[in-house]
Amino acid sequence: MARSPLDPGVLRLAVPRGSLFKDSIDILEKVGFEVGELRVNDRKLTFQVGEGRTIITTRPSDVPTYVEYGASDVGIVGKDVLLEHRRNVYELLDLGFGRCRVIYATPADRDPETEELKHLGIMRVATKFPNITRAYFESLGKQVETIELRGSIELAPQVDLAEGIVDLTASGETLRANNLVERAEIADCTARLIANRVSHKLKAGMINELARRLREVTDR
Amino acid sequence: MPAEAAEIRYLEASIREVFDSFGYGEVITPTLELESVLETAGEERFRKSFRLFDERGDVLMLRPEMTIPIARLVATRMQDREPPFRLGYFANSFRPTKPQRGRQSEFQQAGLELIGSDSPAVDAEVLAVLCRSLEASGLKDFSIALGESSFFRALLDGIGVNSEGRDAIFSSLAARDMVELAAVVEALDLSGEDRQAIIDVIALRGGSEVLTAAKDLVRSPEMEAALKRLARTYYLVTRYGFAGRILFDLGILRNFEYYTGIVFEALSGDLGFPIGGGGRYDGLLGRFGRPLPAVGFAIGLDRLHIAVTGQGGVSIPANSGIALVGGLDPALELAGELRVAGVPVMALARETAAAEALSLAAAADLRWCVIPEGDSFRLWDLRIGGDTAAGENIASPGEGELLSREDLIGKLGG
Repeated sequence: MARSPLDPGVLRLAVPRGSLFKDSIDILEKVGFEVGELRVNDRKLTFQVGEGRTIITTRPSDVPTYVEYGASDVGIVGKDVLLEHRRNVYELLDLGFGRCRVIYATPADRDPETEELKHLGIMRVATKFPNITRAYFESLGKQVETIELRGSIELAPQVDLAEGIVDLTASGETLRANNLVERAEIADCTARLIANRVSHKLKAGMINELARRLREVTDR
Repeated sequence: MPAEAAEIRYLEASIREVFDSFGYGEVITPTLELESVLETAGEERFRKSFRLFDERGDVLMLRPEMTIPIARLVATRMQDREPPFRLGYFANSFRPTKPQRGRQSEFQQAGLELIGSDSPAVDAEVLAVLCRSLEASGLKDFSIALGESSFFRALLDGIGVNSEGRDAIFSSLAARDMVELAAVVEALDLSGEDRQAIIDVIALRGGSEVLTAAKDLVRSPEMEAALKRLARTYYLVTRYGFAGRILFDLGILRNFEYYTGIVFEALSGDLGFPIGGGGRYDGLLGRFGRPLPAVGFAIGLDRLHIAVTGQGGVSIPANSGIALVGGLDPALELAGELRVAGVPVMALARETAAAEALSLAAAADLRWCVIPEGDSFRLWDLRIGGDTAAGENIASPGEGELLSREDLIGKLGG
């Protein structure tokens, strides 16, 4: 008989490549995953990391997708991605690392929000997070046009593509370098452990154990 | 595609047999319901639905599920009948969604409601019908995650969580956000022990040992009663022979405001989301003016189809039909006789060439192909030599067998 893709004997974990990658494999190593190969091989996508455990590495924003569909049982992902994509997954644990904030910023020399609103009514906001942006401005009762970009969001106000941006910031350095000022914090984000709805029950033992040990090594 | 539809209809028929065997009668309700009727049920979650206007300007809704229409039916058209009611349905419902595999805006459900009894014995029957239905569909690997919402509700009542706190807890549970839940619980004005109890109940998952572990968390007669109910239900499910299917999950997240007793989800390792689910909802019928306890479930047929396909596929009994060249004319009488004898006949035009007829028969998954030859008929058995549906054998179907009209009817209809 073919092994079921959610074989109760195997725990499949999705880990994001990118800024959370190093902290993720560090914390997994602390709870007993054999992550040596992940540190040295950045081309491979699937790894055997001990008896009955596999890891896949994906784009950060794809982690909740893999987990929602049950292609992975659990995953590590930033809260910003969860807020943006609203996938139907369990959010089990705040892992504490990867802290960053989703903020709203505009150029330092003027606050175009008030300027534009006086004249045009609708202002343009450039962002990688269209859903977070819409929800935030809707909650304020303000109408904005979201302009979705893939990167270098802080460029948009300088070339008059947008009056403001919604973006991630850790130190605020990029904002300052581009003459932008934070006007509001929208969300405070850290890495989270998430789980598939069905695995959460069918593999409750393994997932509870993983969450318990991660909680122990998380400095919170 | 016909093959897919045939499989889904076959699953439906298998489930219908099980429903019948437990005495559930099928009901058919309108696809369009008045919005005001559905809103009587007070269901926030139906805010996102397909709506349209009728000729008087009233707002109609494409039914987002079947339980509320059945509640209305029982409270109105079945008013002069005495409960209990055992009602089943096979129907399409509609909810706007971004289409995914197993999640479409229009979806087919097979479900039932048992209305008029609040005994754990009927909870057990409903769980048994669900397990039987899934087994009859050919699903081998599945589990039922079972919880008891009144246990958690009694805990919150017992330790005095106010309505604001409850709302915050339910909202983070609905979002499956355990991180937010921990923060919400932390902020509640409760003793550390009470806060821990909330977290502990939600974390209770596993086999029958959960019933024992839950005893340690009981802190009021109401919680004890809820747990006893659940244990009784489980004991009866054991006697139905389905103990091995049950996984307990006292934090099961299924619309806490709606369900008043057991809640459950059918899970299969081949699908990342539940195949179906249900529970006890003793408050709903009262909103329609006929307060009666009720319990029920719905199975998503599309999801079940995906899961069964992942576990070896739907085993539809082989089709014994024929493709008959000339079945439209001149052999339409012969086609009629065969149909009366119980043989499905796909009629082909008289000029259809043999090779084409054979390939059409194979494509329609029929077993036989018949071509008139003078006063006789040449009969090919497409199943000879193995796989016929794939069409590989069409190139060399052999010579077939020449039969008289009488022998043909005798062979196929006999």
